[in-house]
Amino acid sequence: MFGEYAPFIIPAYSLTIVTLSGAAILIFLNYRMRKAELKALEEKFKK
Amino acid sequence: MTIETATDNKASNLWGLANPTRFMRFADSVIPFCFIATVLLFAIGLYMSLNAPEDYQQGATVLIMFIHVPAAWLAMMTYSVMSVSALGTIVWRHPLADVSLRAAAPLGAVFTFLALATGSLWGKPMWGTWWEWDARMTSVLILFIIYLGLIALSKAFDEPSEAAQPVAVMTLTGFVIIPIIKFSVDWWNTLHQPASVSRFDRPAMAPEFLYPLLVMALAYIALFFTLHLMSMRNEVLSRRIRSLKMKTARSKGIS
Repeated sequence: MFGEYAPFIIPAYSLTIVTLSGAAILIFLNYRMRKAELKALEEKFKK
Repeated sequence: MTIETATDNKASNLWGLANPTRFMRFADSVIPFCFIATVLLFAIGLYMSLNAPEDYQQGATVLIMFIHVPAAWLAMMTYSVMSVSALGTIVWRHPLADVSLRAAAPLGAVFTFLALATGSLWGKPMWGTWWEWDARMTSVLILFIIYLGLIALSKAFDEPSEAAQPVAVMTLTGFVIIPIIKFSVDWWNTLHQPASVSRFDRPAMAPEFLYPLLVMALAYIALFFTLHLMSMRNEVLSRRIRSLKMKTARSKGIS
């Protein structure tokens, strides 16, 4: 599809997609973990 | 409504968000819309980019421009957002300003890394080199190092509030690199071409390349705001966790 430049275009797009979606997933997982930790702590603190 | 009342309302809205609970509610309601906007803009932008014609000089490698240039713009925009946040910490002492600064730094590092990496992948077929110590590339590399330094500095303190002032001062000091990056192509002879989109007259770029580029830039901006709000939410949560842990430790110490 990209002719002789495919070895440069495909890695550039792949790297961008993997890095940006990886960052988004990491931030979301971090949120879920922190929310769960906070909930556990709040329950512990109430007791 | 008078102008003064409108300004007062805006200011009070900004200060209203200083309350973490109110900010969390605001972030929870805004993030889904930002996420949808990001996905839509990326879908349209990628479709337009991949269907753009080949450049008569650069051939298909012009496709790399649609991901490289927005990454470079966002690297600078993120630093500008951090500098405004730093001012918010130093001048207005807004409690969310430091949260915003800390949340934006890793995102800026990611965009700068992408600008460097995709630029290198574009440079090899066009200039015949992966890397050259020219003014634009070197100044962007310095920006990347500044991001890493600020992340390290913000994590070097046990108490996040103690780090706020030094990180804000260092951020404002580092802002000097932004005009250097922007004007490096005018001040020095570099491999990069002079500005072709952000010019005072009309952009020196054909519409078939300009429109996909602008849509991709909007997609990157939407992504930045989505991830920034998400990271700020994480930072607020981690501060709550920290203060609860401190309270628990203190209560155990007393009893």
